[in-house]
Amino acid sequence: MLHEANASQRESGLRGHAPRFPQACQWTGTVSGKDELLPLGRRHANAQPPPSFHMPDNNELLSLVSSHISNMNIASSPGFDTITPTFIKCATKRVPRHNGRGQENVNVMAPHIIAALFNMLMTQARVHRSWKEAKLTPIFKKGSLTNPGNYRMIAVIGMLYRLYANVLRFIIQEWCVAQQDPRFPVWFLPRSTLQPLFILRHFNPKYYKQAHHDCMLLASTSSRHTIPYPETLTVTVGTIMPLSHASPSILRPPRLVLHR
Amino acid sequence: MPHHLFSVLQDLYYTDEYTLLDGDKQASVQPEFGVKQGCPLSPLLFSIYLIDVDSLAQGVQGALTGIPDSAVP
Repeated sequence: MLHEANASQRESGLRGHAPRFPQACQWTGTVSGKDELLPLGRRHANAQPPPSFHMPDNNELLSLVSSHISNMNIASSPGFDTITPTFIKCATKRVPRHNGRGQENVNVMAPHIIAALFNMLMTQARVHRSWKEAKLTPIFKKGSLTNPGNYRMIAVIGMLYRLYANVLRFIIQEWCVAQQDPRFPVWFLPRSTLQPLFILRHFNPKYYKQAHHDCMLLASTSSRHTIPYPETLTVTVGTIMPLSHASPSILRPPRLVLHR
Repeated sequence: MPHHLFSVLQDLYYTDEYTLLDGDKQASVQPEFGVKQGCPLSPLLFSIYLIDVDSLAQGVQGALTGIPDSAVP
């Protein structure tokens, strides 16, 4: 009885739209003048003005969503909306290829998802309420079973939310690349979030007591940079790091010698 | 950042909650700071946040904390 009451309460609570963020704006199809009020990051003195921003149109969104659907992990678990990745990923039908012979699998869910995603992303800037709730699952680590501190909390979000966030992530990342600010590529490499901290991690006496310490911070082969090397150098030389614990010799201006 | 993208992000983080279910019982938590756990956007948002960290630390020596006007020397 109690369970049923709770379930109905949960369902009614999850139904419908979530409360709207008060200051959210509607997408009018153009970039508004407010965009100038929200600069992200400090601009370089010689930076080019950012190119104009466009939300992806229907065709771009179709390819974007399709690629993210094909990248879905079937084994990942559904959230509160109980939509499994299999439900979305395996809803395909075989159609003849446009180019060449044979047939290919085309997802039939993608246009419907796009209709929903497109509405929420482009016009309304709001999402369904069930997307805002994440399922918390305690996973036992080790030690005493009765101690709550021995459990790690894992949050599971709905599958459609993850798809939406992936599309959004792609759009924001494209925008970051289009800024052509040399600071940006350093901070969001696809490989690791903590890549910028790599420089600080190598900033220890073991390295800077050596002869070429100015360049040792940059020249380690473990960094695996995917961006042009001179840009990294100019950015990193301009970066201010806490130097109170460093040796005095590191305070002199760095010699711009590359040691790969 | 384009204003529309920004308001989309703001809306994602507005009134979100974590719910812990145990049989009949449930408890929910409304987070007030930080990025969502398990969200594909979180690493990117954290990286964007990190861009301006050194401007917060302009002329400050030692470690910064999240509370304004307090730094660990």
